[in-house]
Amino acid sequence: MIYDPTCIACPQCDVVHRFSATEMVTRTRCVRCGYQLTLGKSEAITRVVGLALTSTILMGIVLFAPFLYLNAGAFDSSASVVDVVLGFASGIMMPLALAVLVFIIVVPVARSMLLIYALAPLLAGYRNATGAQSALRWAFLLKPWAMAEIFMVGVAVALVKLAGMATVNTGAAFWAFVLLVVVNTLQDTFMCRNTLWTSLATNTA
Amino acid sequence: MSNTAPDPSVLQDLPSPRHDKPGRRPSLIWIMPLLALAVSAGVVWNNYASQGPLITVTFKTASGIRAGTTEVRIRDLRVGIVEAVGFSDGMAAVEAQIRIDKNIARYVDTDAEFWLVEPKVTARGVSGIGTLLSGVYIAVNWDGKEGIKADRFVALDVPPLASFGEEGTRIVLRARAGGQLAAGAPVLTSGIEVGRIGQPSLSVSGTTVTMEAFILEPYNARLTTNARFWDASGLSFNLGAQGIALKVDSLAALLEGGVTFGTPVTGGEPVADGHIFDVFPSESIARANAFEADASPDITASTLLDTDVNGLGLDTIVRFRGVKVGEVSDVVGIAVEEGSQAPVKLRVDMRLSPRRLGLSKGLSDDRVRELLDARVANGLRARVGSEGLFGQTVILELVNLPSQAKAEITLDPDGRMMLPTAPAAVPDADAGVNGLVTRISNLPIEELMTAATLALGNISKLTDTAEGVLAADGMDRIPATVDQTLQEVRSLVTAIRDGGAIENLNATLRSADSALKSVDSAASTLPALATRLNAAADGLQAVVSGYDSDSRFYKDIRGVLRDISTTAESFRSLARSIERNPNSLLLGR
Amino acid sequence: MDIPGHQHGLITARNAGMVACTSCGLVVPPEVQACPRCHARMQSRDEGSIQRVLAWLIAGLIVYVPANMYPMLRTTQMFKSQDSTIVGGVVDLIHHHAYAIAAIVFVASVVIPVGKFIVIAYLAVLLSRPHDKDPHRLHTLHAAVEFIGRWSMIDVFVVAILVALVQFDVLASIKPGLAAACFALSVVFTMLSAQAFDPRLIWDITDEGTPQ
Repeated sequence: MIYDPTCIACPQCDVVHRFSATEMVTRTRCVRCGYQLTLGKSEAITRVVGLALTSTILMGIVLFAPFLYLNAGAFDSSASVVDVVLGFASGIMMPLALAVLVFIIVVPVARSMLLIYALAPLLAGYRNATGAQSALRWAFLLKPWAMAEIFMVGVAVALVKLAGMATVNTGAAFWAFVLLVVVNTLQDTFMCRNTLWTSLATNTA
Repeated sequence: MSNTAPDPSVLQDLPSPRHDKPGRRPSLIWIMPLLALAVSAGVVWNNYASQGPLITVTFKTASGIRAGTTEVRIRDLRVGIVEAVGFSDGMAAVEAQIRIDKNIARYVDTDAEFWLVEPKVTARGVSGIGTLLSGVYIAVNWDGKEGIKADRFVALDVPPLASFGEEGTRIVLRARAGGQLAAGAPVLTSGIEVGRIGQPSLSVSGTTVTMEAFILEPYNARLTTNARFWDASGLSFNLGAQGIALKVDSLAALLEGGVTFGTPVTGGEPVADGHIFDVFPSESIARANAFEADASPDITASTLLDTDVNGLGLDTIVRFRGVKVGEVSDVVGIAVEEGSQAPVKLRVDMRLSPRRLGLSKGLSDDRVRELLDARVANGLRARVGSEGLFGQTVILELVNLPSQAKAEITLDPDGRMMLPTAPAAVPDADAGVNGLVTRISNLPIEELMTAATLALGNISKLTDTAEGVLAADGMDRIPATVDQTLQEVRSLVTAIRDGGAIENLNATLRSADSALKSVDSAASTLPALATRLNAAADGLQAVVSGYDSDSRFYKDIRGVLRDISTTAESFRSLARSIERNPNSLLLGR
Repeated sequence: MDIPGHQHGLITARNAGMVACTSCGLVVPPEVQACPRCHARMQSRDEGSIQRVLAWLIAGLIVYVPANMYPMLRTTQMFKSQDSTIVGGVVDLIHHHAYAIAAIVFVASVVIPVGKFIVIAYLAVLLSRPHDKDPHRLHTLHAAVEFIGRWSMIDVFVVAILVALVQFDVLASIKPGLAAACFALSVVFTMLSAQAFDPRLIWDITDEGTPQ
């Protein structure tokens, strides 16, 4: 079956449009109903960068605000994410502390930073930063090692375990972390390999 | 619609999609980071704005203080938390950085006091047990008024004397150094605890100890200027003219020291904060000092004694009409040249309280001498006396003896006032062991024996002579007369013998002997008695067990034992409930 | 044209005599060492893939044993300590009627790791010799293993949070046990093991009938 890849119809109102090559990678709308037909390379990159930035800022809150408050009778305790990491940091458990720190904090932040580093120049119209390709490649490679959302599930399980014996209150960092997970997921959905690589490759600034 | 293949020619003139206007507005995505920034800023600002001030408190040790965990509490309500613990400059002490809650920060002024609350077991009970489970905390006390702000404090070593909200009177106590008073020791009156002592501090001279004491309301109403304090520490064991007295005030006083006060003399004004009281070593001394108000300077006087006196020395009491008016401060041997029987006399120097002697305060030395001279003219003399159950305590007495020859106060070459003396009082011969021994020694046994021997000798000589006379020639002419004489002599001797005089003599001798023997045996049991008394004083167990069960001491001990067993029992039940349900502790159920 | 490996009009880069970049998809001649677009190392097929897979797998297996033997965490309440292992923790949750959470922990800490061991071993053994299995299914299996693997870390994070929160001195305190570290290592090793697979190998066998 032969089809014409330059014909794209609007999913909302069924009008068929013809796309040129450049139009494929720009933001376009349907002529009749205005529904967005293509996002455009530029927009995709913008979104990735924007979300990466958000992710980094949220991680700041996560690190420095209290995460959870435990109240059991007369006893209060509060833990920040750093406390969670340090809880392990004694002797033989040190590698574990390190692992937790890396998977929850270092990798997600690193990925966001790498993406910003590689893609922000494109948005601003500058030429590629040195090592932008390696940066982008590592951003992709590190994806399975960013376990922020798994941490959230772990938190949920821990809360259930503790709920029976104490009152647990959530701190600012908790919600920041939830948002962080959501933002990271969104960010990953906008990371189309082909789009990003061709953008880098064709950056002639 | 038909199923035929689509006609590509239909798709010839397709419209191009619409583009957004150039100069399109920036992507909406940027709202996200901006929002995140705003929220971050909000969180951070909120954190800082709601933060109270940071203060530094210095402690001797950091026992149990942990950054992020140890709280600062007043009346058990959390008002701050330790943020960091570290060394002070020079590693001399530990500094804790404390974040005080904003809403009470204004009370933390220079009057605020901080101290560490940790588990403590003292004679007064167990305190701070809760901190075993919850960790130590820092308690703070303030007066509720806003004063000058401060942000550096030194923690107290012991909890302050008066807690927040306690009303009472603060007084100053002065005691002789070497007592047993410790900070926190109780102040008692009539057996009830009415206050506590603060930290004792040694005076510069090292002889007195000064401490603050806090008397709680409403007991401070009983505190007047006539109140007298005495040391209630330990036991007091008294063997005196009144007999044996064993006193123990309370268990806490026993172990930790304490002071008791009483008011031997009614009257007296209410006491203001800062009034100074002396602490006397025992109740009897305190009561004896009941009339002494302000101490005026002592009068020094001296007297020359002829007799040797064993037991007269420093601190020997000087009495006037039975009341202590002073003490002997020195005893010196003086060589007196002019003709007297004893080449060396004892000069006894005394310190007398003018008030006790009935002299008003603030008199000049000359005036004092005039007044005393007048008394001496009326018969005031100094002499050695004795008191005590066995008369073993030597005292110096000032007595009025109007029958004495006139005398007056003289000044010795060094300007000392010399009081005239009177002979030592004759001990009551009828009283006591002394009298018995004296009576026995007064018996003219020796003379009796000598006379008897002489008489017998004479009688035998007489008999010999008589027989010689009879045996001589020419005695026949007078046999009848001689016989008669002989007869008479014989009957005299018989009469003497029959009269029982010799027996009486023998009997007297025998009873004197047995009297001496009983004195001997009495004397030999005295040491044993003393040993028993010592053993009684040493063996506290025996004393306590036999002590009056109504005393506070006994009650205290019983109370403590009861507390201990109740605590032990509750720990046991707690442990049992934990075993059954480990979550009960956290839940509180 | 009947090019070997040509299936339904599809051609692999390898069979076309080219090399494809695994990172960005660019197709280049075989002499090129580094991808011009993304600077990744070009490798037609990863020869040592299966070996690395097995190596990491065995490492993961070895560490998994102490992860189950030693306790994951030690709860101390009033001087009484209680150790709980992975399975013990699940049983505990069941006792407390938190069935859903018990299921999550059980799946994450037992089912997934064991499943991973089995699947990876199976794939490794299968792909080292000719096979006749449906490559689609194998591929799905591999993708699943790669995706699911990281979720085993849930239990490690749970321990981390509990340790951080429950520190009440004598009253109650939780300390991590050796098993936590061992289990984390096990997850990491199996993740590396799954990543070491060159999934193109699955399809090669089907194309050629013999390993290349």
